[in-house]
Amino acid sequence: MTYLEALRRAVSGTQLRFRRNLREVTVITIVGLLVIPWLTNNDFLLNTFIFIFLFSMLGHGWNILGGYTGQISLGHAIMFAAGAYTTAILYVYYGVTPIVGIWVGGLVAVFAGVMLGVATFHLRYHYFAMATLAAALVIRVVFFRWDWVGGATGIEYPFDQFATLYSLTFRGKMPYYYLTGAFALGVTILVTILDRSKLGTYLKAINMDEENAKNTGLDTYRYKMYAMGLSSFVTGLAGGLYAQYTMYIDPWSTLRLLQNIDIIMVAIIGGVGTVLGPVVGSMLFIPVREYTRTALGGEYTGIDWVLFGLVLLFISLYRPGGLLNRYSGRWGKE
Amino acid sequence: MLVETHLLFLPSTQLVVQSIVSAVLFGMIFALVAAGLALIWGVADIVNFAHGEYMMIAMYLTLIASNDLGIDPLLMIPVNATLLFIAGYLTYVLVISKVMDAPMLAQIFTTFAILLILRYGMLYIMGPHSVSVDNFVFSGHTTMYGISLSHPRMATAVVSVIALVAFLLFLKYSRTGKAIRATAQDWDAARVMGIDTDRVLAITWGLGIAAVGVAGTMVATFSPIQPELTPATWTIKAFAAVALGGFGSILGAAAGGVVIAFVEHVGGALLNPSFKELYVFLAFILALIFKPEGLLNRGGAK
Repeated sequence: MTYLEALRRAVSGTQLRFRRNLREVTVITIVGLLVIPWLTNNDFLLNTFIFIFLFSMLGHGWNILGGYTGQISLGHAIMFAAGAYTTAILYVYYGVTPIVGIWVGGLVAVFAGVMLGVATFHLRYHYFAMATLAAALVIRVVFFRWDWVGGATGIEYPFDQFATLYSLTFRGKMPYYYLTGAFALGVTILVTILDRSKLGTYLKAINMDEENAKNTGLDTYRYKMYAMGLSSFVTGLAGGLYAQYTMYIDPWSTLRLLQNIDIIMVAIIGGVGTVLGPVVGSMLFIPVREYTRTALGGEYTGIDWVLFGLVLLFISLYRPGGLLNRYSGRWGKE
Repeated sequence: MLVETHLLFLPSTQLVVQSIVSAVLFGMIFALVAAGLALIWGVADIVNFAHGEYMMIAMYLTLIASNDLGIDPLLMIPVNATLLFIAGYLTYVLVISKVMDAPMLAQIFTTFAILLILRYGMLYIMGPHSVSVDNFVFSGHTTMYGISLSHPRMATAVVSVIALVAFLLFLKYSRTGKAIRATAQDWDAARVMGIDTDRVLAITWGLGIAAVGVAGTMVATFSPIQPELTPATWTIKAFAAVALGGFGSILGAAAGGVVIAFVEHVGGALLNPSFKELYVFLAFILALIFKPEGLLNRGGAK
């Protein structure tokens, strides 16, 4: 079977057929991704791939809470910023190597996520979505005015320790490519395990009918919190990697309102509540986003967002479960 | 760190009175915007994330009519109300009606998609610069006891109150208004009683959007318009007002609008004015967390 055919079947097929071809598709994709930097050193291409990897992580992160558990968060930029800022602050202010900082960033993101969960998990459906959005707006305003985290100017990495292992910064894009790629692969494996685990089943049960899940004795609050923790950790790691890659973070780039939407676009284009959805979603969305950004003249013409709006509208109307999902399950509708 | 020494600084009485006056004037317009959002939310059970975008369209229409065609914004009120009613009606018929039974995720992202298309379509057409309406029949301001009263803002408040009262009376006494309220109470029962719920929902969307159309026309007379900031600010304030007032309660949302105006203006004057949007967001999130059923409501909101 050719690769393309396998991929096509994997994308359009039922879960069963999907699983049969999964191994070939996965192996060929991974091998292909491993050799790409050796075939080309086109910066635009590698940059696009680095963002594909980062956004598959973010998509996975959102998907654990939004897709599997059915809690539609519009505030994942908070956890992203938590990871990015922690990594940057630990390194720039205290000289802690980002090799450690990224993981600490993940843990700080978990803390932020759990706090958000404590505050908002008693809300359902759009109330939860709105509360997380409001939280993201509050954090955004705070970060813009908070001098210790650099305020509106943000935090810049010092250049004197550039390209050392300790600072985890590199010349050229290839090391970043493998670094983010390895993290993205790791997270994908984590989600695969989650998908087949008991916890994954509980989360899907909460998504299907929270009231019913509660009545059958499931401690839904606790499991929602686990989902939030995992989701935040993954999102925070991606934030830390983003800080390492750009070496400069500010509230504009990490806490934009559209940052929340970028993450969700990736998660829902591919397929909500599926393992490979975020991966496929970022492979489809990020190249278009990077291309339109450069080709159509930057963010201020807005025409790229009109295009994404139309895509989002199409998906919402005709494939509400995303492209990977054949059936459109229920995400929280009474 | 956050709230600096401003807490120690006592604002003058004049500043406080001035901020209360602003809050009252702004409160009326917030009330109208929030009422439109609450109507759609309460009847159709859909959150319209693109609320501020429709308002922005009315603002740009006013701008073009005033600056290019020389039509006074006051004359644009009925025009914009009609045009935005049609826009809302069509939005329901063409898009929203298709996701009424869809999962909530699809509903949220449908209105988000409308937000992106309208906001960035407008950015593409009108450019990213901030623009304002040049001529308005009630321009200038009066100073009374040291308190400055801006004429456009007073006119806006008056128009908002009239529109809001008309809106409430229509819902209370007209046949269509009764049908809307019946649909909000129980969809299936309304259908059984012979109400064409689909048409009622389309009219609901039309009315909710027409309300922001009137609001946008008036706000354009004193506030600059920018395609990214303007709609975002107004949508969030409307959300905050609806969250405070209770979802689905139109009177509650209008009251919430007044409260939000006070939080923003009086809070801004008493504490640190550069944080006034933060106070609004905080009020929003606190209202959602502690009182999701609203300030006036006693029923459950879930």
